[in-house]
Amino acid sequence: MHGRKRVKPTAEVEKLRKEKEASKIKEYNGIVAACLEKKNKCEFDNEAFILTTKILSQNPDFYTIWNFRRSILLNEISEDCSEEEKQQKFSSELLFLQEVFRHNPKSYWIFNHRQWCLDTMPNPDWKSELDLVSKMLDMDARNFHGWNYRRYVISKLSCIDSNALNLSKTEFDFTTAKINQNFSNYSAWHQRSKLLPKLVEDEQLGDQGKKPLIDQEFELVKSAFYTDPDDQSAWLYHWWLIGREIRHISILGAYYDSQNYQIILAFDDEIGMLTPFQVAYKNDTSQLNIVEGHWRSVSGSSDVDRMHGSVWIFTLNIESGFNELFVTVKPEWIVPSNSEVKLVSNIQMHCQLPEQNKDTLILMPPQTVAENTTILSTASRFREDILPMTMHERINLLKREIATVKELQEIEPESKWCLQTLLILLRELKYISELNTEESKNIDEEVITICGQLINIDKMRTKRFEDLRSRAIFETATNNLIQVSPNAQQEIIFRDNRLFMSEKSQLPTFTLTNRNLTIIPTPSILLHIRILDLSYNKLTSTIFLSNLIHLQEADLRDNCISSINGVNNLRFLRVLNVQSNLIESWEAVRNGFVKWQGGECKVYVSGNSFINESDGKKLKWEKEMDKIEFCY
Amino acid sequence: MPQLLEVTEYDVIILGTGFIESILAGALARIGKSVLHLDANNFYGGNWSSLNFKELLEWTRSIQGVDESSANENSQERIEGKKALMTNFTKIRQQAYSTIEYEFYPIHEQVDDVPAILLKESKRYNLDLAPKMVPCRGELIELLISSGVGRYLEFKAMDKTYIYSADTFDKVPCSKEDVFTNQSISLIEKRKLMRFLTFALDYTNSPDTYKDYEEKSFTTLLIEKFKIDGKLLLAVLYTITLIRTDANEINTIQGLEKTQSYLKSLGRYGNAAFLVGLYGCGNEIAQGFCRICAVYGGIYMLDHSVKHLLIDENSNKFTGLVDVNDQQISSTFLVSSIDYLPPIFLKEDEHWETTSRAIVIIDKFIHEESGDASLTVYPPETVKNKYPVTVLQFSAGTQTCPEDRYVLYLSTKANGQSAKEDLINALDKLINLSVNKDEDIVSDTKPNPLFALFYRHKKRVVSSSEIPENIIIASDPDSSLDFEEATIQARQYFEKMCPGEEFLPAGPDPDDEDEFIV
Repeated sequence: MHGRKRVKPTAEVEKLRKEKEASKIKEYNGIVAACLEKKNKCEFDNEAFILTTKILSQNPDFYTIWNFRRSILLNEISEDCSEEEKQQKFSSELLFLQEVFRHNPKSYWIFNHRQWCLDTMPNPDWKSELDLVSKMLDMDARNFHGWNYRRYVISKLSCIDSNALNLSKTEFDFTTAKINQNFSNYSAWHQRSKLLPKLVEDEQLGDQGKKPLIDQEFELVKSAFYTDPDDQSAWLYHWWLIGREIRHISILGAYYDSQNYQIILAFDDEIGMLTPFQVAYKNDTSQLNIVEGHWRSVSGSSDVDRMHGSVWIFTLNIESGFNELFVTVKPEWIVPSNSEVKLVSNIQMHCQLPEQNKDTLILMPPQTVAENTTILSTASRFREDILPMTMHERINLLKREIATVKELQEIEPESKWCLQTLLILLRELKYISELNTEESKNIDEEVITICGQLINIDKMRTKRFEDLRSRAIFETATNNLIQVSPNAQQEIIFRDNRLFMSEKSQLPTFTLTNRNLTIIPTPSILLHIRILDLSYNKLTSTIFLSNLIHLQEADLRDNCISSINGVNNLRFLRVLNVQSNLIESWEAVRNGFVKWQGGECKVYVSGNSFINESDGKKLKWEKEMDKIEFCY
Repeated sequence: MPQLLEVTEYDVIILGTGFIESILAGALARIGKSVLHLDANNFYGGNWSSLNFKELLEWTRSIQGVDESSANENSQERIEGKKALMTNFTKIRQQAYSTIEYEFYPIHEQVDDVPAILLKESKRYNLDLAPKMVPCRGELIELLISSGVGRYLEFKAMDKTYIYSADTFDKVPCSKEDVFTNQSISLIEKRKLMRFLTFALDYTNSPDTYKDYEEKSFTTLLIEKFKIDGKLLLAVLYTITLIRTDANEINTIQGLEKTQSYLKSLGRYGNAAFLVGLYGCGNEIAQGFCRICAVYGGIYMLDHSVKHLLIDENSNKFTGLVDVNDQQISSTFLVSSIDYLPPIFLKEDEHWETTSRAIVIIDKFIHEESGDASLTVYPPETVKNKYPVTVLQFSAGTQTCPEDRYVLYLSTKANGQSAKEDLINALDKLINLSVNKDEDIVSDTKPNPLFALFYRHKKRVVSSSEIPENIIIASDPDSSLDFEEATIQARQYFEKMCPGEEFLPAGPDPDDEDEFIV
């Protein structure tokens, strides 16, 4: 029904049509007025009922009238009606609805009213409802109202029918038939995704029995996207079959700053804190005693913001020295940034202060102790709902699907769905498997290439793929900062213990320039960095800097930054270069330094559109910013 | 005493109720011309007709028969100062057919019963002399819709196509849905095929794809550009592009045009490219147009032959005819099927397009799940055939035959000595022809034949400068599987006869409630 040209009617025909319409509108408005008046007076009589029939036949989306009609019906059946009379009443109501359906197969209110009738009547005939909805879907196999109604009917049928197993099977076959007729049918695939887990469960198949069934699904959907790679509905079902595994949040590391009586804790993702993490020390009898203090995240300026972030600081209430402290984090104490990630088990961290150099702040590799070490072990199960797999099986499945999609991609290099599916498969593979650095790097490289292709092919979503590419580039670049520890947890390896060395060349440094970075996905990984060079990228914000609490110099020349923020708590920052960005006003620079906590700092701002010499001179800076020196 | 016509002057006299004649009859009457429509047969459709079993046997005998009245075939008389050319319907019609032979096959070893059985159920057969299908998008279907004639007709979808190669029959994926559900081709082949089909549907918009192949054969484009080969190549050439000659003769543009018209037909009436008419295709459609003619005042007489055509010698114009009752009837135009032309206009020509055909009645379907109508194609050289052989199978659902009977229509471009020779090998793959020879090898699964009729069917072309220009000659059925060319021809004749007039505009529709069109 798409792509039809609209033929413009001639003036005369249009005039006739308008006249005809005007009289119809007048008549309709009259009926509506009469009906609403009856409603206001609560006159639930037969006359009102006839008025609602007239209105709803013409305009079934007028839900107020449906409500009124229900009131009338309820009023009627309450007056000592026999069961048969009630049944009769609702049967004729269903017939009326069937008539209205014909002209309006996609009205929410008709379905709503029908469900109400069936739920209210003494003996609803669900089998005939199923026939009705089958007929409806024969006429339009993509009417999602119909599919939705079908699920409702099926749920009712399965309550009364003891042979529910057969029902799932026949329903599953029904979707197969509809898909075979035309597989460009989101509703049918969706229905299938709802039925498959039930089918697997009902038939009580063992894991071995499930496999052929699921493989068959993969074959079916492959046949669809090989037939038409531009059809999104099949790809979405494929994505559902692959599934997204929950990614585990890990703690990158922690250390104890004895000078400031603080514990610094870094996650590899942003989290919200529901319950403060527990900090304790061991007394002489090796028992843990709670240490009082308070947690805040380093990012954000308001108090609300400070309960959300990836780098957290615990400030002790008592200024007393501890040689070692224990931090406990439980999954239920945090809120993950999204539904695809979570903390899987309790984690206890052991932060120890070395004997020597007691006055110096030293970043230490944290001793992470997971209470439950089965997190990523061989017992892991994936896609529990349709086909539980071990990690090994999961990897094989992903690799098989990657090979299939790549084969198609070779014939269809321009297919964006193909490339996007590869991205999904590669991401799943990367997150679930214990990859060595080389493998992980290869996946990142592939993702970078694919994102580059998608940026050119899918112009509407350029930014999204630029972000995805940035993530892969960043993850590759920070690979050398990460090492898989013996207990399978990822940790920052703080190679540099020279935070206060005087020579710049020896300070922890991170350089990633000219790589089209649009975002810094996990800034907490750079927690220990002192010298940062991200010049010549496409970063739009400086907010990520708030996590880099040891930062001394930041070079962000030639990016797309329009304002400065996230820097006011960087106590060691001495140089910030935002030359040649997209900053358009002094305001956008100055606001970043409100409540500046650091010392003398040079800010290079030339090459932004707001800079002209007279402005710079006449602007008076508030007193708290007297440590900031603007350079051009 | 024969009943004579009250009116003896008409705008147009039409001889023969074949497909083209009938469209013209409807179109001419529709714009107000007075039409007299005669047919020497006692049935509609002429050489395009659908006959019941008894009629088919009678027709066969008539074609095979010897005409006694051959004495004076070029005789020329004069009637009222006009040249009177004698017609010879039976004899001229014989010219269109050759190598006709038929055979009854025994059921349960009792061959004698078979003719009786078939004659008993005779009326339940509607056997097409020139079986054709209607593409779901094309000249004829649009005409049926716009003229309203479609209201008189019923159709079923022909949505299953099979190809024979390497001793097996495979279902051919013709549409996107077919490609998706087909399990006999690989994923890569699915993609290649869909790539080609998507391109061909809209090929004029991507000229770069075929630009380098315009001078080459269509087959080369498929192999080199789309990497389609093997079985899949045969399937595209002979079941989708529906090439009916040697594929090497088809160039890229011809192939793409044919493929496109096939693909455009898909998806309009379900997953089918063709419709088949119920109760036989040819004469039902012809009768539909005749009905329009009759509604608009046309006069019909079947079983009514013509003795002479009258030609004015000075102007060399057709002026009228003398019918079987010796009544003189005059008209401005004559539309005539070739069968009614005086023999002197006709010269046998060996270059006439000739099709070998067979009508076979069997007791079982040839492919499982093949539905009411299916098409099976043998690519060249698969059954010692030079040209592709097509087999249409119709079931009782198409009202072509009784329950538990199936009708096969075979056809191919004539090549060997006879129609039977051209088709028997293809037929042998489908049914048990050798039932008597060796009881042991009779397969239970293959259908058994009851009756087979083989004949060659020529599409005669008449081009004589002596033929008056106000005689419009309607062609014989062609070798194609559709009515498209014939429909175009009918339209062209109409435009020649009545320039500027509308061709079969919609009549007032009793169901039409469009209140805005006054």
